[in-house]
Amino acid sequence: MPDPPDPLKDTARELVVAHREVEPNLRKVYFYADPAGLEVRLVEVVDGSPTGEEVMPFRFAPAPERGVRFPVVIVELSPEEFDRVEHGAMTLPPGWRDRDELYSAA
Amino acid sequence: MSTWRVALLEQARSDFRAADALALRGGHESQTTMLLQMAWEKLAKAALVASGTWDPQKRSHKVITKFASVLKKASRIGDVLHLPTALGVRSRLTWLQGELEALEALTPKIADGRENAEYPWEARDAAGELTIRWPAEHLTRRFSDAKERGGVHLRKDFGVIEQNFDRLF
Repeated sequence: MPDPPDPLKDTARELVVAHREVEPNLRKVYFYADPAGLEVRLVEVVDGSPTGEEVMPFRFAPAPERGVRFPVVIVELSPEEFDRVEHGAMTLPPGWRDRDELYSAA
Repeated sequence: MSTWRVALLEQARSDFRAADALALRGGHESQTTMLLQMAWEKLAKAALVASGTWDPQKRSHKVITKFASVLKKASRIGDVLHLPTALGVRSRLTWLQGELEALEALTPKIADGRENAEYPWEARDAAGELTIRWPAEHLTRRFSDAKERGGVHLRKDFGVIEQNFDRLF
């Protein structure tokens, strides 16, 4: 049985294509489900992204004229920061739990 | 009722107007650089606080640099900067990221005892002798000189982003 339609995830997939065009150092993209269905939540791992002590979730406005009908929250992590998140030393925003990998660089 | 988003954005604009006035007048180069740093930092924090999950009273570092790195993924950034292609966005925003990294590196916390926009620092002179330098006299003019490409574009891009803030964030 096919998965039910998920407009947030569909938007996320389109964003991955766009983000790969502007960010050559993109290594991984994870989509996090928003139970309220209000915003696209992405974790993007980027080589060369600055490494800090905390997660910084930047929220971008919808851009329906570009096919982005929802606000988009992006947490960009360096590979070092991603390791810290995976090991629990840094935490994602509250409610960011269930995820799907949308992209992984070869 | 004012929100953190509005408050940070308004203070960023005020810091920027002060930086711009000093840059055009000339002199006070270290204060010009410091105010430009402060303006970009508050602009980045205004974008961060919009997520609703980030504490604006936190003393965060490297906010400007992370903001610069993420900015190239804003869906409308090409429109507001008049960059019609993804390649143009990548090239221009990568350049901006490098400039903002260099600007943020001049904050005392990140400079960690080296050249910065606020406090004196130790350095070696041409003869290798230890000496003390201070921002008003020795700070790079890269971001304060009204004719330098870096400073000019950091002021121009700040203006475009803050004027289009609600379209972007």
